[in-house]
Parts: sequence; C-alpha cells; structure tokens
Amino acid sequence: MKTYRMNLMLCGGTGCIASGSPKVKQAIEEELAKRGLADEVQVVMTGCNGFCAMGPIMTVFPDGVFYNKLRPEHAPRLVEEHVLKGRPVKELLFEEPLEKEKIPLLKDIGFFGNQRLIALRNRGLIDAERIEEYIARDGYQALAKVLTSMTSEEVIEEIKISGLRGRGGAGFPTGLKWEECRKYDRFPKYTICNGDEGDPGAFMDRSIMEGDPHSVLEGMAISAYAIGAEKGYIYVRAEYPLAIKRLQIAIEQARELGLLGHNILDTGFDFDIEIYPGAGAFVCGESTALMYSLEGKRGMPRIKPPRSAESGLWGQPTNLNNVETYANVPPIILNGGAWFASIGTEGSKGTKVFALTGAINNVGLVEVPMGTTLRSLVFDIGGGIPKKRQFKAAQLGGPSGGCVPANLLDVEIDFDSLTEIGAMMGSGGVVVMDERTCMVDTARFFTAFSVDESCGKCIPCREGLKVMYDKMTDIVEGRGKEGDVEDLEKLGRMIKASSHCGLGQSAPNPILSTIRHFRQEYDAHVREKRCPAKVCVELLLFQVNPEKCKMCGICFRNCPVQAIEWEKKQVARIDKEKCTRCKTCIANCRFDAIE
Amino acid sequence: MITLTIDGIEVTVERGASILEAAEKAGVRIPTLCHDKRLIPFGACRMCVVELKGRRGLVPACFNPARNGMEVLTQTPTVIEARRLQLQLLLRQHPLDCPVCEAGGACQLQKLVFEYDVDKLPFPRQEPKGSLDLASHLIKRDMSRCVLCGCCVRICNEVQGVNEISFVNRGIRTEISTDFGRPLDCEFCGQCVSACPVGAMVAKPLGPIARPWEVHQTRTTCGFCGLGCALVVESKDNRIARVSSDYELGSNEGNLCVKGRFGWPVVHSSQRLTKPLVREGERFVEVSWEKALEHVASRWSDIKRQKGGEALAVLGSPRLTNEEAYLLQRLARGSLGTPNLDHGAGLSYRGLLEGVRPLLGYAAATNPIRDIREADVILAVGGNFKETHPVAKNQVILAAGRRKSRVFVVDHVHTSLCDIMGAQAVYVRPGTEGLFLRGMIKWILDEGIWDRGFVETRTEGLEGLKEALSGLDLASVAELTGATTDEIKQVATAFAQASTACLIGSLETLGVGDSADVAASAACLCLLTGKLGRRGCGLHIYAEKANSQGALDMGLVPGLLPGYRDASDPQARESFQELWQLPLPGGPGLGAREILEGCLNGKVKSLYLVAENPLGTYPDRDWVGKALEALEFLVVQDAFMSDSAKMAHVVLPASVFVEKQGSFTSVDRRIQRVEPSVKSPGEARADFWIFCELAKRMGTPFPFSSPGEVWEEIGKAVQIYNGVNLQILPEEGLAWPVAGNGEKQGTSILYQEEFPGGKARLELPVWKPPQEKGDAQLYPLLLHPQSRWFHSGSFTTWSPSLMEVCPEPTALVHVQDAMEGGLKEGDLARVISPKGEMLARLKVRYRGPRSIVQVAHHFQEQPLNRLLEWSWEIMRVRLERA
Repeated sequence: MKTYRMNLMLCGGTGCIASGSPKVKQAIEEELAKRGLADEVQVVMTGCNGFCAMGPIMTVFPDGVFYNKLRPEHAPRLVEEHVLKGRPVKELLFEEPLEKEKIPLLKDIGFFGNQRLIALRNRGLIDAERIEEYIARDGYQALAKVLTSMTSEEVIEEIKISGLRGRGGAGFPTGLKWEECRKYDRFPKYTICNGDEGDPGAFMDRSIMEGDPHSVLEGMAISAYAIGAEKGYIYVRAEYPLAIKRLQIAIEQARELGLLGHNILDTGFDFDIEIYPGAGAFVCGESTALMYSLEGKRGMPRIKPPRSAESGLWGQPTNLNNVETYANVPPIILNGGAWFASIGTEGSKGTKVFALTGAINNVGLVEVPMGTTLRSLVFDIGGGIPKKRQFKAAQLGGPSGGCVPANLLDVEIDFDSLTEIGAMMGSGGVVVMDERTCMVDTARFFTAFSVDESCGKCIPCREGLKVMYDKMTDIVEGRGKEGDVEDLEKLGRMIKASSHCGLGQSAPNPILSTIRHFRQEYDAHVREKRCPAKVCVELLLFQVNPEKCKMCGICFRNCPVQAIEWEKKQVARIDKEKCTRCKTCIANCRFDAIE
Repeated sequence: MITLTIDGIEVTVERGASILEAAEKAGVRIPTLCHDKRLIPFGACRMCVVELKGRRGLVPACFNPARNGMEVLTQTPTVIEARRLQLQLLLRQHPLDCPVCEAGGACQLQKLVFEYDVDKLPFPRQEPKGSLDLASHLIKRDMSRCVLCGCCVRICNEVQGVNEISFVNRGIRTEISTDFGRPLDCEFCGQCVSACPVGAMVAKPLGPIARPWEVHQTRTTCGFCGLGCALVVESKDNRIARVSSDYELGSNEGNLCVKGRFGWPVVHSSQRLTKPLVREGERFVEVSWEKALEHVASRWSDIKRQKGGEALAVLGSPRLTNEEAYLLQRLARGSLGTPNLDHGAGLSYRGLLEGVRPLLGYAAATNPIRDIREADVILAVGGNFKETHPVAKNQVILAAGRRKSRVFVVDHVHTSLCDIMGAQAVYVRPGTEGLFLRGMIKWILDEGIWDRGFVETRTEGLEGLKEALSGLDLASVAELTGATTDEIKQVATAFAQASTACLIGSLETLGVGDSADVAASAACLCLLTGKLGRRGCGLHIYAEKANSQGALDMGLVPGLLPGYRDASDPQARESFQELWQLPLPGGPGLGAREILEGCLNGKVKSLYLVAENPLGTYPDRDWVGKALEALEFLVVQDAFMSDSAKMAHVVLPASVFVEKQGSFTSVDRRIQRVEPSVKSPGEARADFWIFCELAKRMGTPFPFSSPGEVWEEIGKAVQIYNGVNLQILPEEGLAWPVAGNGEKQGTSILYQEEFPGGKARLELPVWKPPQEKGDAQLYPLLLHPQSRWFHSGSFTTWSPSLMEVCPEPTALVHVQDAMEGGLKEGDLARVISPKGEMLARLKVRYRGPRSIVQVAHHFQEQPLNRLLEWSWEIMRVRLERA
C-alpha cells in the first residue's frame, strides 16, 4: 500500500456531500496535481464525522488540524499555505461558539475532545469504500478471534459480561437475546440488522453504515456465529442510498477476501449477508413488522409470543439488532467484555451515539459514555444554544420519547434514568429547544408524526392518537377547554397501557412528558388562550406592546405585506386588516414587543 | 397442563393455551372483536385486555399464554374502563346506521356497546368515511363500518390462501381494500363475510331479508360436494334467508365455499319442477301423483312381465341420501327385479372401488379431512381440491402456512395448489400420473427407504411388487412423464422419509387418464412408506358428490350388494333374499355404459333416472342422446327439467337436500344427518316418498314410513354401518366402520390395527400408456375437462347466484397457445374435437405446461360432453375464435 506524506481526510458523509465536499475534493486534487503534489498528498473521502453543520469538514494528518466550512475556492490557499508551507489557514479553522476562539487542532475542539469513540471508532479515519483501511484499523480481527479461538457460548458470555444493551431504543440486553436465539435447534436461523432508522432528527445508524460499514458486517458475522445462523439481512430504509451503496461495496469486498460467504477464514463457518431496502414505513423499525416487511408482507407488528428468537423471519429462529449495537460488538470481543463494562453506568454500559439537532451550536453526531449529563452533552459538546438564548428543553428519543426540561439538565443519560423522568433513550435523537419553542406545539408535532406512522392495526394507537392530536390542535388553536389536559393524560395513559407495539406504547410520551414538565404552558393555552413562546398563530394578538416597543422599526421594514405603520420615534402599529399573521415581525423583533 | 384462576375460578388447560381459551373453559366470557377461532390471534381490538394479579398494566387475553399460578382478573375497573375506551374510540367514526345495517342484531360492536353501556362519547364524532363497494358479486363492502379487526384479510390469507384483500394505507387512513379498490374477483367463498364482526363485509340479499331473531335455524349437512360441511340454514317464511356454519359444528370448522354459502338460491329457483308430468306426444301434461305413479308402475310391470326384469334399468345419483340410495337399489333389485343399476356414469367411483379397495380393503379415504393439516409432506396427485373440494383445499393452505408442510403437486396442468407458498409443482404429461407414482415407488425400493416395519407386519406382496417393477427404470419414467429423474427422486424421498405424509386427489366423473390406476398406485405408495393408520397420514382420494361414499356403501352399483357384498356370492344373495323376502335377480348386472348400450340394442326397454342427467354429464352426448331416444319408457325423477328429463315419458318432481331428511356419508366416511329446513315447492316430493310409493304400486311395499326406520335394515345389511342410530348421531357425524354393541364408536382413521383382509396387498397393475384421440396436426391441444369451484355437476347451473359469478364455460389455456391460435383473454372460443364442438370464454394462464386446455363442464347450454368419447383416450381439440 502506497504511503503519503500527508493525508487530507475530507468528510464524505451525506451531510458534507450535500454541502459540497465532492467539489472541494476535486478542487484540492486539481490544485495538488497542478503543483505536482499528487504523489505526496492524498485526499481521502471518509465516512461521516458527525459535525455535519460545519461541513464540508476536513482533518489533516499527521498534524491533526481541523478545517470546516470548506469551499472549492479555498483549495489554492489551503494547498499553498498548509500543504506546502505547513501553516494552518486561520480563517478556515473552527471557532468555539461560546469562547469565539479559533482552535486549530481536532483534539482541542470541545465537540470532539469530549467524546469517547467505540461504535464510531473509525470515524474520519478510513475510506469507507476500502476494506483494507478497515482491516488496518484492526478490522475483522474480532471475527478471526471468535472463529478460531472461541465457542459460541464464550462469545455470548463475553457479550453478557460487557452489559451491552440494544441501541435501537428498548435497551434489551444483547447477550440474553443471542443466548435465547442460540437455544433453538431449528435451522436455518437468521440474523438481521435493523437499519430502518426513522426517528425525525436521528442519523446515528446512517452515519455508521455510511462511514464504517464493515463494523456492521463484522458484528453481524459474530452474532451469526454465536446463534448459529448462516444468513443475514440488513434492512435499510430506501432513503439512505449512500448507506446501501457502501454496504453493498463492503459486502462484495468482504466476500472477495473470504470474510463473508462459504468457509470464512477456512474455519468451516458459512455466513452471507443480503441488503433489503425498506419502503419507508416508520413502524417497520419494530422488529416483527420489519420481518414481515422482509418477507414481502405489509409491515405490521405481530403478536408475541412466539418471540422472534423462536419464530421470526419465515418462522425460523431470528436475531435482530440495531446497527449501532452491531458496531459495538467487535471492540467488545477484542478488548473483552469487562473493558466495555468499565465504561458507563450501573445499568447501562459503554457509550451511546447521539444526534444533536435543533437550537444548538454544534449540530452533529457525538458518542459519549453512558452517564454523561445532558448538560455536558448540550454545552460542552454541543457548544450551547445559539444567539445567547436560554435552554428550555431537550426532546430525547424522537416521537416515542419525551422532553427533558432545564431543571433536569444534570440527569445522567442512561436507559433507566431517562425512563424515570418520562423520556427515553430511543435511538439517540436529541432535539434541543430554546425559549422560543412552544412545548404544546412541539408535542403536537411529534403526535402528528405518530398519527401518520401508526400502522393502523390496534384501536388505541390508530384512533386514540388521532383523538389526542385533534385535542392538541384545539388547544393550540384556542379551542381548549378546562379538563382537556386531564383528558389527554387519561387517554395517553390508556393508549400506553393497551397498545400492541412500541410505537403505540410510547407515542403519547411527547404529550405526557410536556404536560408533566410544562403544565403551565398548557394552562396558558387553555385558560388564557395565550402561547408564551409566541408560536401558536391562532393565539397571537398581533399587536405591539407599547411598553416593550423600542420604536426601532425593524418590524415595519420586514413585514412582507406592509401591514405595519411606523414612523421614527413612534410605537409601531399593526393593521389587522392587512396582517396575514405570518409572524415575520415577531421573529424579527428583538424586544419581544409583539404579542 | 397449566392451572390458573380466572376471576377466582380454577381451571386447567393444556400448555400453550391462551388466557382467552382458559377463560372460555372456566366459563368466563371475555369480549373480543378481532378474534376468530379459525385464525391466528391478531391482537388488534384490545377488547380482551385483562389484568394479572401482581402485575401492572393490561394484558390482551387472546394471544398471551396461560401460565401456572396466574390469577387473571377480567372485570376490574381498569379493565372495564379500557374496554369502554376502545368502544368509544371506535364509535367516534362508526356510522350509527344500525337500523338499516345488514349486521343489525348480529353485530359484535353493537352488542358490546350495549353491554358496556357506551351511551355518551367523550370525543367529538367524526363523519364516517370509507369506500363503498356495491359492484362486487354476492358481497357488499362498506368500509365506513369497518373496525379494522383484520378478520377478513386474515381468513382470506391464512385459511383460503387467496389474498384478495389487504390493509392499505397507514394510521388513521388505514382501510381494507383490493388492489386499487377494484371489485372482488376471487373464490367468492364469503369467508370474509363470515369473519366480519360488524356490517362491513356482508352478503348481498339473495333471499328474504331477515333479522337474526326472525329466522328458523336448521343444522344440516351440505349437499354440494362430498366433504359434508356442517350448515346452519336460516329460513323465514319457508324461504332460506342465509346459510352459515359454526366453528363448533363440524369438520369444516365454520368454513364454507361459495356453493355452501351462496349457492342455495337453487332451492327457490323458478325452474323447479312442481308437478308430475306425463308426456303426451310432443308435450308434457301435468298430472296428479296418483296418476303418474300408477302410470309408471303399470308400464314397468308390463315390461317386466313381457321381457323380464333385465329389460329395466336404474341410474341413480350420488346426491341421494343413504336411505334413498338403499331404497333405490332395493327397489331396483327387489321390486323391479333388475340387476342393472349404477350411478355417476360408472366412472366417478372407479378409483375407490377398483383402485383403492383391492389393495387396502375399503373403497374409501383413510383419514379425516382435518388430518391433512397434520402432514409434514402433502402430495397432490390428480385433481385440484380448490375446484372440486374447496374447503379441503383450506387444509392444504393451513398445513403449508402454519405447519410449513412441504406441498408437492404432480399434475398435468397448473392448478391453484401450485401457487401455494412453498409448493413445488411437478408437471407431467396428461395421463402419466400413475407412472410417476410407480417411478417414486421404484426409487423408494431401490434406495431401500420403505417402511420396513410396516411392510413386514402389515402387508404382503413386496417381492411381487419388486418383480413387477423390475423392468422399470427412472430414466424412462422421466422421459414418458416429462418430469426429471431428480424430481421423481426428490418427491419420493421427501414422502418416504417424512414422519407424516399424505396423498390427496379427487375423482371426477370426467377426467384425464385412468383414475383407478392412479388411485391404486397412490395406495401402494402409502402402504410401502407406512403412511397409513396414523394421524397426519393417509390416502385422501375424494369422490365428487354429496353422498358418493354412501352410494357405494349402499350398493348403488352393479354387482355389489349393500355393504360391498358380491352379488354373485350365494351366501350374500341368500341373506338379502331373506331380509327383503324377495327373489334377487341373477347375473352381475349392467353398468352405466352397458345400460346405455342396452338401450340402443333393445335389451333395455325402460330406464329410471333418479337425480341423474346422463345427457348433460356422461361422456359422448350424441351417443347418450341416441340411447335415451331408443327407450320405450324413460322415467326421470329430478328437481329440474334437465336435458335428460326433456326426453322423458314421465317426469317426477323431487326435493333437494335442504328439503329432505336422512343422512349423507362424507368423503371421510362420516355419516351425518340431513335435516329439512324448508318445504318443497308445489308438489315436489322427497325421493324417499317416491320410492316407497313406487314399491307399493309394484306390489312389493317397503316396511318403512320414514328415513329413520330404514336404519334397522341398513344396520343389518351393511356391516360397517351396524349400530348407527340416526337420532343420536354426534354433531360431527360418525365415521364408519362403526363399532357396534352398546357404546357407538366411529373409526376416524382406518387400518390403525389391521386391514379388513388381515394384511394389505402391495400390487400394481401394469401401466398402460395413455392414448390420444384425434390428429395432432388438426387438433394441437389436449383437452382437460375442468370442474369449477362455483359449480357442482350441472345442479348448480340452476342457481341464479352461482350463475352470476360463473355464467359460462371457460377455456383456460397457456398464453402462448392462445396467441398462436390468434386468441386473447375474454374472447369467445370454439373448442373443437373430432366428436363435436362447444363455445367457451377464453382465459389465459402464464404458468404451467403448454398444449393443454382446461375446459369447464357443468353448463347445459354448452355441454362439454359433446366433445368426448366414452374411452380412456385423451381427446385432442383445437381452439378457434367464435
């Protein structure tokens, strides 16, 4: 393998590709060629680095300098200054949002420095489309170890010692799952990877499949060995074309090297993997619905028992884990379960990947040890809230999760503590909200998602969620009645208790947790017909509060329909006849003067 | 066993039983909306939630297994509240059109809303929405009433294997629909209607409109095919309003086919014969029964006196009840003094009588219908259950779906059984099924994988069989059948090595190849592999009609007295002469074909046709027509003016099965009661009454006045029926042979301990290659006479409802053959054989072998038998655009 003096690790994740990294790559390579450096310096397209908001991003090795927001026109300077003269280009360095200070090295950046990478261990370091680079980073060593020196019981024991719990949301102990599936003496067995990541704002699994597909394949092969399967399926949502492409490349490369297929590593172990693109139903992330979908049927959760371990895909014993879970398996095998168990909290071991989105400076993907506080996640890694606004709440676990308010910022994130406060780990989506977010409206948004995505099978989920959604609509549109909130709570509890699958059992969470933590906002909507965050249009008066108005005229200048009358040193006035209630004035007023 | 308490009541159930089943056993009712005992629990309606003591939360009872020590509470405030909430949620958008809803009074939702006192809704009501399908035949779908329990979707998939309907869309927009909402185009079995707990899938009115409390219910046995499905006939004002079944009643477990559920308007057809008719020249004149019967008796007496009893002949029908079949043969042999009697063209029962009986001992299928779903390997040879015995096909679907049984279909056409998930089709040349089975037997012998224990202790003739097949090699079998040697080996190995395996097939009057040979080879295969006398195994060779089995048992065949006693056996003759106090006619008697030959050559002067229509259903229509024309005196007793009846001198109007009392014997030998649910129209009378009247007028009166009274004599005459008492038959019937004294016990599985002759005989006749009739150049296609599941012989063509869904014969042909003939789907085609021609609607298929066309019989307007000859030759035909 050819070595280079310098490696420019340019991010090739979906986010950076969207913000233009292929063009940046082309520009840099042209520049390098122009200067005759093509043999000395190479540009590598890596998997997702997680820092998507700053894309396209690039890390220069060996010195570890980190660049962000690159454009093709930056290429000449970058090559001239950094590659030739060894001087980092200051303007392209990352600026810490709170301290406003340029930081040249990747390791010094809070976003990266505070992370601990296990599942994302190869992030930004390898070309996802080259198996050699994965192997160079100890790839497939765990599989070799398992096949040559461990029995399937020992593998399962190691996973049990590690305390690894399913990363898909429910947190079922992985070792127990494998053990259960191994028990059944019916063949063929199947092992499935659930890559149907559907939570709004979650992209952990996509990042792994795109950036380090072999870690998923290796994890699956190890699970197959443990349970006795010869066939694996990766169910990926069709909206992830890049993940599908890279997984396909990875599978083909692994087959070529004899790491998949017949007689793997000459040990007599046969295992192969097929990719199945899902058609985009959220409920197909539920394991039994996923298996129906794989069989070509309508994705609808089925009854249990029998569990999938006994009778899953095509009625055969089947193991199903999430992408991130599989990615954690090889390091556990290589470093030992005890090493993994030393990270994290009592009940939740290891690390967890989170997708930080919403009102947060460092939007992106991070991996932190279990037990990291939400505060650390939002402020140390996430860089805090933009525009000096206040943290109001974080929505964890997507449409199935709940909101965590500011007074619980110090909660240590793990499976059990989150459940305790009415949120849930879910797959790891963290949507951060500032004071401009209306919690009632947010809860209504997530409920709308669940109403759309319910498979329609059982009554409480299908009908009950719609009733809850209609009631929430009434509340945000000013038709709320005394007692509505209590009705919502009652209905929500009943839906949770009597729904069939995880979707219905958790879909009321956004409403229930916001009622629990932000009851006063509901009361403001219902009793005072007022939206404190000024989000719910129907509850806004569209009039200027003269006491708050600083007469700056910014509302006047921004109104798209000229509905605002203003003259210098005069309080603005909104003409309600003309006003279209678009909220542009509210968004622009810096003094919160429009009510 | 598991012991638990339900609301404090202790109950013990089998491991694996659900809480719901345990509660049922404990006598505690748990409400359900999406539960149907025919289906795998679904868990959608959440009405069955219960609480478990010591556990938080609600648990659906329908699919959660009962566990030891569980304390189940079904009536706690939380449970009641949850159920009320589900009902309130459903009612939010459910139309409140109960007064005009077809399901009113039978609707589960209506019942539960009343029971749980859901008078007010805590949520605003929404406008009901959902598509309305009024265009489909027989079934109306109003999706605004649908509660999305999925029962219709599941029964269509799990039990019928049709998958006509499915859930479409998601969430609150979920609906049940066909693809793109087109009208139904399916089996029209109405299983979806039977499973619908509300009024979303309902039967269109075919008779009087009636609420459940207005009807009179009768439990009887279906007469459309030989499966003996239990029926519940609901009638109002002497007219049938609805026909359904019940899970608890019979072997069909509440399942019915299109005929059983929707075919009954045949009963009230305006075409029914209501008066005895006597021919005067070219036309019929209505006469009184007295006059008609006198006329018939006197003509018969004259002929008998002048030419002897042999000049009289009787062709009966496998639709007659056991009692009637018995009386008819007694009337023929005793009163008319003729040995010439037969039924089903003498063809419909050959497989059982000449194929199975010589090897095994009884001319019958060996195991209960429901055993099919216990088999690990199912081998379908010859005949398609979907077309001939639709409800038995469901057993194959259940086996393949739930047990994951392997299904092999060896056939010369592509049948719907080939489409079952996981089924493997082996296409052979027409008429070579018997050879394929011999190939399997040969392979099993060569490989030494026959059941040694079974063969040694239970059979004889192994060496002879080896000897007989010694000249056979698989390569030539493969060449002649068109299957590959691998296929022969694979099917043979799978069948031989399965722990349970069964062989299924149906006997049709008009078939391809020699049904007796196929049946014998099948029996031989089952013997060799030890697949007899056990649950989940067996030979399921089914005859077509309602009482095909009973007609054989009662001796409605030439040469065999009731109970399969040889008519030439002096001892048997003596015992019957003593029983009847009448002399028995000598000689073996003529079969159906010889009787018709006798008509032509003048040996037979008078023919008595009872519910049999040779002109419409026997091969070679022209020839049959000439035979009937040559008769001096033709008496036809039927419910309709059939083609044969039109040629009669006297026509006697008869009742149909829902108007009669008696019994049928099903294909799996269950003797079941037939009860009248409506009165016959006009002066139509039960065949039983007519036989008694004729016997009286022939001077040999029967000592019976009702069907029940015949049983004492049947018990004496037919050993295997000895001990049956019609009045106290169990709900599912009693399978013969009945163990006599005192406690009555049926034999659901034959040959568990021994064969009637001690050991069974392993032997096979020499296989004769099929011959083809017609020039291959002129007639490029082979003809396969096809049964349609919509019809039963020609009887159902009088049913307006069935004629609505299947009004004309179809010719099903491979798309390539159609294209070469310049034809496309939907064209009207002339099917031309060297014998004659008919019109049929062309349908194309895309799978299966070429050069064979399946043409439906049944239809009197376009009779298929015009194309046929009475021989084993396979008829060649060609298709032309009409």
